[in-house]
Amino acid sequence: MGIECSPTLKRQRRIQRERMKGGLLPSVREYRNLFGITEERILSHKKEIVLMHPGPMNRGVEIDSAVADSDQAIILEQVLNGVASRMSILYLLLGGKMEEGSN
Amino acid sequence: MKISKLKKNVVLKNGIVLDPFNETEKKTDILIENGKIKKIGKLSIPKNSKVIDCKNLIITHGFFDPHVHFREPGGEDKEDLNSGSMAALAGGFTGVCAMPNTEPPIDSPELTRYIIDRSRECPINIYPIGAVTKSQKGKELTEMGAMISEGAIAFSDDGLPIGDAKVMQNALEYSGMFDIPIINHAEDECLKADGVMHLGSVSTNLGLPASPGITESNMVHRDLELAVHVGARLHVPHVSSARSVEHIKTLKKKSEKISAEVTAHHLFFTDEDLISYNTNLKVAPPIRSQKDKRALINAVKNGTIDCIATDHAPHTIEEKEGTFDIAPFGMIGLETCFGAVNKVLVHDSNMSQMSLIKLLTVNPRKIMGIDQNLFVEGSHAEITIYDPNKTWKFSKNNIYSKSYNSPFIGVELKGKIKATIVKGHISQQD
Repeated sequence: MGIECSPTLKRQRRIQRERMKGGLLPSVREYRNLFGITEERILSHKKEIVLMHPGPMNRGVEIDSAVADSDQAIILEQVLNGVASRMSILYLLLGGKMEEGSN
Repeated sequence: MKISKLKKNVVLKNGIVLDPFNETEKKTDILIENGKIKKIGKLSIPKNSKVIDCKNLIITHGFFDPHVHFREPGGEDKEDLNSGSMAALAGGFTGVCAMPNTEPPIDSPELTRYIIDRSRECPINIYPIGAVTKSQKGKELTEMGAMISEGAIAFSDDGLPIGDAKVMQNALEYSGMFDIPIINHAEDECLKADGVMHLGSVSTNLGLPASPGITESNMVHRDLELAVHVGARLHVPHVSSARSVEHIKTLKKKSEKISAEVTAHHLFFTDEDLISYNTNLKVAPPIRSQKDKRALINAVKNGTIDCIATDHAPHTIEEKEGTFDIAPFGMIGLETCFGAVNKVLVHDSNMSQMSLIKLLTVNPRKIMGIDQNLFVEGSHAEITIYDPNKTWKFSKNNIYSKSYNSPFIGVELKGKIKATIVKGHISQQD
């Protein structure tokens, strides 16, 4: 029962309460018990793992602050890179040109 | 029925030990020491042993009923966990699964814990089945994960069908995470409408509102398709119609996670027995035609149906004395189960004792994920001793339930429970 992680990387997503009208989750308590990433669960992994979350986070539900703000989390870099990626994709789709020498 | 604490050493002597797990049947002895099985085989009797002569009797696993209503909390005028346990002991059952349609329904981890705590004080093993949806309203799922942690072994809104197919699908997906069965009381409420019995010439003669077999089989079919689609565990309770049997047989080929049960009363009676307007024969789903009964017996024999349940459903005399259309659905069944199914399946349909006993022991335990290998040296003794050939007439004196709503009163049964051993005690009857 509970979360399963790949050994080196754990990706978590925000539970989308605005889309939960179908009664898919019995309660926040149940969700947190089964899937919430807590410090305890992270420490139970022998190997140090890297943690991702696309944001925004429901702190205390799917992820605890102690984990989200730890050195293991690359959440802020992930969000930053996500914005940059989307900017460049939109730029290219709107007819922008790749600059010489860029990849 | 006499219940007493087991002596330090108890020897069951001269009986036929039928082990439905290892499929062995031989004349031998069993030594029970401090409530645990010490030895099975030829033995020298220790000093000061209590010796029970089991000549011409069969000694087997304690029976397991996957479907009872013990009404606690909220319906203690009909039954409670203790009185239900007494009825179970009389019927040879050492373990039962209690349905959650109580008042309030068992729909939270806290209430599941209540049943677990109470069952510790009872003389048999009681396993709680949790509700699938909050307040059994068929809409929002319950906290199944937390309920399993507290001891729930399956989920059902029994008594009430889950009408919404999407809710049923979500329930199967959610319980599928834990590989725990969903048990849906399959009766389409729109098709059933005011029906109080099976639709056929008998209902026409009696002038009672009735519903046909497809009331059940339509929903059984929906549930089976969903279970196959999702890949989750589904247990079909109290199958009553020939058409449901066909669907189960077909869709079992697509999934190993489908199982089904039949009640003793659906195997024993037909709608023709209702001509007396006996409200004790008013059950849901209803007792159906001779053709349906034959299909159920065949399904049991060929393995389409996996186990036998009682659907023990106590109601007060006052409630059952109402007219047929207003009396509540349900009959008690723990005390009569073995004598009824042994008569129908073994004596009338040539089934072997071994095949019958599997339907009452290893098969239902396997469905509910409970240890099935009971005859192991060192394990707690859960034993039923019965006379397979005794013919007897069931009477009110044989009822240990708080309620008396049994249509078997005055009916001749074949095979009788002589003793039930569980939780360090033995209950004995003539």
